Amino acid sequence: MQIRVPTRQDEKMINLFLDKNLSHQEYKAINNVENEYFAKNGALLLLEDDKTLIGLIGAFEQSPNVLTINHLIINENFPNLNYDQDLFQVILNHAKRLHFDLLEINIPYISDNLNNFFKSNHFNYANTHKLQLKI
Amino acid sequence: MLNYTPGNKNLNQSKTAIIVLAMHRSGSSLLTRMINLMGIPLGRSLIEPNKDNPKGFFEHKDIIRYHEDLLNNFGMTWSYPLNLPANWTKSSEAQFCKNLILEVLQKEFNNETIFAIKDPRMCKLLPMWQDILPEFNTTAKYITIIRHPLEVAQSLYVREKLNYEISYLLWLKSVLEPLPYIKDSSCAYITFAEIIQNYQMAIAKIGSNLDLHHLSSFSHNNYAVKLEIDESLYHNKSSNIVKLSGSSLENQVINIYDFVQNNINDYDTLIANLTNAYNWLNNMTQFVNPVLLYLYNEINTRDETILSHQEELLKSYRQIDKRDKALNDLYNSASWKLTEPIRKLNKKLIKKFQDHFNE
Repeated sequence: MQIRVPTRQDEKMINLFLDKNLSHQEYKAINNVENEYFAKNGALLLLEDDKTLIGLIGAFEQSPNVLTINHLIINENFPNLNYDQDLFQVILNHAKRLHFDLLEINIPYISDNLNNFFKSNHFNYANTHKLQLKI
Repeated sequence: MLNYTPGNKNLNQSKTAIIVLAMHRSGSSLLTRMINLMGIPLGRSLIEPNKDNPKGFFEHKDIIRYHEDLLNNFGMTWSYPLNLPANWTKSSEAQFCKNLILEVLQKEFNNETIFAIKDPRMCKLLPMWQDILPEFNTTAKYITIIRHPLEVAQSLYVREKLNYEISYLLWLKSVLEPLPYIKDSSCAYITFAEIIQNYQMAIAKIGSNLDLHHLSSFSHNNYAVKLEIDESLYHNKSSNIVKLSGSSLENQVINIYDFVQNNINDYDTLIANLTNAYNWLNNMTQFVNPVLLYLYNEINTRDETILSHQEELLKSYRQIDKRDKALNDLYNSASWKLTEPIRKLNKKLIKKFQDHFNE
């Protein structure tokens, strides 16, 4: 298992993965990883097992102090392996490194598992309808 | 008097096994090598020397392995100072071990009339050997070598940080526990100090006590033997004896050692007093053993917990490394580097916008 930074060549594979794993909900396909994430002080990270994509996390700068996570997906065939924590921790460290004050969740559909995951990482709904974590 | 000629083929004749009994780090390797150099075989498959015993251990590899496996089956190692379970010699584990050892004896010593075996674990496992040797048509002669308990404890502490008190208890048990099995057999006691002072005389004494003529006639002109033994003695020089813990057990083992040293040539007195000490140890063990057993189990449980925590910690370190690597990969990636001008531009634009807004 390894975490990898994607290039534009990976976009097709990423969108297939999103399509497969988010088939029950609406989502916005990724058209340009560089513009949508890296140019916005954010990151998109892929989790691969033997060159097979099994998870990803995406975050970008919403405003000068806020980094927004808009994707955190682990394929359901790989549960309870803390892969979500691995990915999240890299983004959290990145947010700290770039001196963001707040991490915010902007994922259209948050499952119970995902909600529990963010709660266990001390996110809460502090006077807002979005899960937030003060860094 | 046993007339030994190396290489005798006496398949059906009764054999003699010289069993060297000793606590670990007591000079038994040196003594066994001396016996070996006098022409008594130890078998071909011996444990290789290492930094603890650069000259070699002179212990049979397979026998040691079977002894260790047997102790492990009872949840013990050589440094476990508690008794084996009651009736352990009748257990299937012991029976299995006996058969394996008999195979080794057949393979290694079938053509010999005399051979020697050394393993400090035999002090504990001697009852099993009492069953093995008759089956191999062999009579045992025992040599017990005793070294000052403080030197032994110091040596074991240096080698593996073994607690002094555990070393003393192991020393005590190694000296006393074989007694019931050897006192009515042909048996010689020798101290490590005697070997250091005059090894020729020590060997001759063993030869005389055990009625082994070829040990009595140690060749003073055998320069190869002298050279090897002299070199070993140089490495085993006795150190200055300083009390280590000041505990009552320490005093007790020193008293026993002093008594042994003073009466080493008076066999009857030595055996009578060691038997008294054995009875005292046996009584004490009956009371103390259950408590020690409980504490050992407790320690083992905690060791297992610590081990599992260490494994978890290691796993966490690996995860942290993995995450740090991912972050480094991010900042070194082409995507991140390529988009750096855009990030800078955005930053400038935002600042300009804010400045304009503030005006």
